[in-house]
Amino acid sequence: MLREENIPEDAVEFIRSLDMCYEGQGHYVELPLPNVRLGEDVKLEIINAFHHFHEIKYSHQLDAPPRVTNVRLKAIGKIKDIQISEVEQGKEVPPSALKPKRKVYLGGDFVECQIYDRYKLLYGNVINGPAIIEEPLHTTVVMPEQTLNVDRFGNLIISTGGK
Amino acid sequence: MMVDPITLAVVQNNLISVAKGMQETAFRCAVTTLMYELRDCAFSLLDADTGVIAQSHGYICFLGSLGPATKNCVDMVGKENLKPGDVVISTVPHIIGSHSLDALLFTPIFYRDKLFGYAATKSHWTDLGGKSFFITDSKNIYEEGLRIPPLKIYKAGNLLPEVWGIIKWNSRAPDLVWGDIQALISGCHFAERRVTELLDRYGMETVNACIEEMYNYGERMTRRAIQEMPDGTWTAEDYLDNNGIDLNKLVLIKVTVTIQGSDITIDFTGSAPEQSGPMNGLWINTLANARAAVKALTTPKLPANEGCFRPTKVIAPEGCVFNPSTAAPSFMYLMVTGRALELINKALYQVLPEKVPACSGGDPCGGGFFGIDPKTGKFWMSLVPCAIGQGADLFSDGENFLHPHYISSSKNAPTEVLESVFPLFIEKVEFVQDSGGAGKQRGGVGSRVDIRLRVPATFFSFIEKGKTPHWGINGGKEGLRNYALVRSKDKGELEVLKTTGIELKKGDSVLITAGGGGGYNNPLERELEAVHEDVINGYVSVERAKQDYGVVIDPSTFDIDLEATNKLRSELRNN
Repeated sequence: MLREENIPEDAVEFIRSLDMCYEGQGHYVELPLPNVRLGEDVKLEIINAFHHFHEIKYSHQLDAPPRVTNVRLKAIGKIKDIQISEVEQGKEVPPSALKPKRKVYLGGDFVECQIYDRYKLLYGNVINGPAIIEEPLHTTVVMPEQTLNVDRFGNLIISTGGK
Repeated sequence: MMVDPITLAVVQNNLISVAKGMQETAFRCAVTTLMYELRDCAFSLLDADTGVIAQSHGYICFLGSLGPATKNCVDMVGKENLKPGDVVISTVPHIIGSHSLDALLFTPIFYRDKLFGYAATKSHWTDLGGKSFFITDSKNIYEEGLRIPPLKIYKAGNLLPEVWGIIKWNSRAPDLVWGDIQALISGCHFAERRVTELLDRYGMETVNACIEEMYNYGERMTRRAIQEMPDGTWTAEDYLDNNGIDLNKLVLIKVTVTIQGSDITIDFTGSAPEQSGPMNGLWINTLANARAAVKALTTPKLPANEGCFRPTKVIAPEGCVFNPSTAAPSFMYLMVTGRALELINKALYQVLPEKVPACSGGDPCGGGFFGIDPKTGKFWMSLVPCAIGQGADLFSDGENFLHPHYISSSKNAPTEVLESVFPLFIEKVEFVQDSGGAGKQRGGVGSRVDIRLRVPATFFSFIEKGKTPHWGINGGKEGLRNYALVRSKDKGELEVLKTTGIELKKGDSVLITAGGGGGYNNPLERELEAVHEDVINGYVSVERAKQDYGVVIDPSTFDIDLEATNKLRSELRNN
C-alpha cells in the first residue's frame, strides 16, 4: 500500500508487537517486539518480557500462562512535505451534491432536513442549518441557526451563531 | 483556606478521574468476567476520615458502603498501625456491609509520611468456600463462606503468605480470587500514584481545601433540592417474594420518609424482623442504598461525595430485615437492600410526580451455572444477570433492557464472551413482548435469555420480584413479573425463582425471563401512533394493543382500524 502511494522503501519503518494477556484476562497489553526472527528460541524471552512489562504497567505478575491474542505489524511511511489538495471554487452548491431530503430528529422534534454529499461540495459554498452532510465514514450535523462554510481545502467550518 | 474556582474544578475532576482510573486499571488486569464484564465491583477514593472524595461508575449499592465499611476496618486495625504499602482486606458481612464474597480491599495513601486517605474497593471474589457458589437457602452465616476480619494481606509492600494461605485453602477457585485481588491492588496503586502527582503539584493544604469545598457544595446542592420538596411524612410497603427457605411466605418491607426543611429521614421501622433464611439486608448496605435513592432524587447530575450524604439520616432498628444481628444468614442481602431504592421512590411518587417513575423489573434476575469443565478439570462459574425493563415516568416510556438501579453500571455480558469463556450455548436473547406495563407512558420491556448447557453443571438462581407487582402509577398497568424456567430431560419443566443448585445434564437448558417496568397514566390516553409503533416494533402484541390500549390493529397489514379503535376506546373508558 505504501508502495502504491510512492513512499520510497528506505522511508518505510516496520513496528512489530504482540497483544498479550494472562489466561482469563479480558484485556491485553501491547508488547513491543525487537526486529528479530520469531522462533522457538525467543519464546522464553518474549514470555519473560511480557511478565516484566505487565509488572511495570500494573505492578504485579501472575503465575498464569501468558497468551498471545493478536500479532501486529505496523508499517509507517515517512514523508517530508505534505501536499494538500484543494477543492474547486463555486458559489452555488452543485445539484449533484444534493441528496433526497429526510426527516431528522433535532432538538426534540422531527425536522425536514436537506442532505448533502460532502465530496461534491465546493469551496465557498454556504449551507444554513438544519442540514446533514454525509460522507462514507462521517456524518456532520448542522443544527438550525448554524451556518456552514466550505473552505478551500474542503474543511467544513460551522458558525454556531454564538455571541 | 479559600480556593479559587478554577483550581477547585481542576482538582475535583482530577480526583474523580483517579477513582475512575482505579476501576479501569482493575478491569484491565481482572481475570474474571464477574469483574471485567459484569463490573460487579466499585472503587472510591476516601479521605483520612473515610469520607467519600470521589467514586467510579461502579455498583451504586457498593459505592455508598465503601466509606462506612473502610471506617470499620480502620478502627479495628488501628489507624496508627497503617503504613505505606499495606493492603487491608475483610470479608465479615457485618463489618463491611456485604456478604463475604463482596469483599472489601483497601490501601492507605500516604504523602510524605502523612495519611492522605484511602483507595477502597469492593468486588465479588469468585469463591470463599461457602456451601455453594451462590447461596439462596442458608440457615446460618457459617454456610456462607470464609469471614476474614480486617487484616493486612500485604505489609509494607510484602505479601503475608499465611493470610493468602487461609484464602487459598478455603476457595474452590483460588487462581481467580488471586488474579482479581492483584487487579484490585493495581487499581489502588494507580490511585496512589495519581494522588501523589496531584499533591506534588498543589500541596496537601490546597487539595484538602478543595475536598472540603467539594463536600460543602455537594451538601448545599442536596439541601437546596430537599428544600424544594414539600415537608411531610410518607410511607410505602412492598414484599420480598420469600426469605429463601420458607418459599411461600412474603416478607414485608416498609419505609417511612420524612422531609423537613433541608433534611430527609429514611426510616425502615415496621419492616419484617430478621429472617431465618439469607434474605437479610446488612446495615451498611441499607445505608448505601438509601443514600443512593436520595442522591438520585436530589442531585442526579452532580458527582457524589460525602457532602451529598450529610442531609440524609437513615434508621433501621436492630433485628429487622434491614439491620439483622451478626448471626443472621445474609447471603442474599442485596436482594433486600437493593429493594430499598424503589421502596423509597414508592413512598414519594405522589409528592414528586415529576421525579419518580413507576416500578422497574426490580431485580438483576440473576442465574448462573457452576461445575467442573471436563476439558480443563477446573471449576468454572458463570453469573448471568438478565436486563429488566424500567418503569415509565411522567414524561416518557420506561427504558428497555437495563439492569436494576442498584447495579445499573453492570454491562450485559456479550453472548460471544459467555460462549467463549464458559461451556454454555446462548440460544437466544430477546425482548419480552408485552412485558412492559401498559400506560400513556409504557413501561420498558424486559429480556428473555435461553441458555443451553454444553456440559453437565449445576444451575443456581436468585430471582426476586417474581410474586409481587411491578407497580404502575396513576392508572398505568403493572409490568410482567420475573421468573426462570428450567428444562431438564430428567426433571421436566420447573419454574424457579431462587435455588442454590439444581443439577442439570448436558443439553438441558434454562430460560430466564426478566420482567418489565410499570406503566404511567391510563393506557387509553396513549397516542395511537405510539401504540402503532410499539406493535410494529414487537414491544406490544396485536392482542394486547386491543385489550390494554383499545387500539385495533390488523394483524396482516399492521394498519390501525380507526373506526373500531374509536368505538373500543370509548367503550373501555365508559366501563
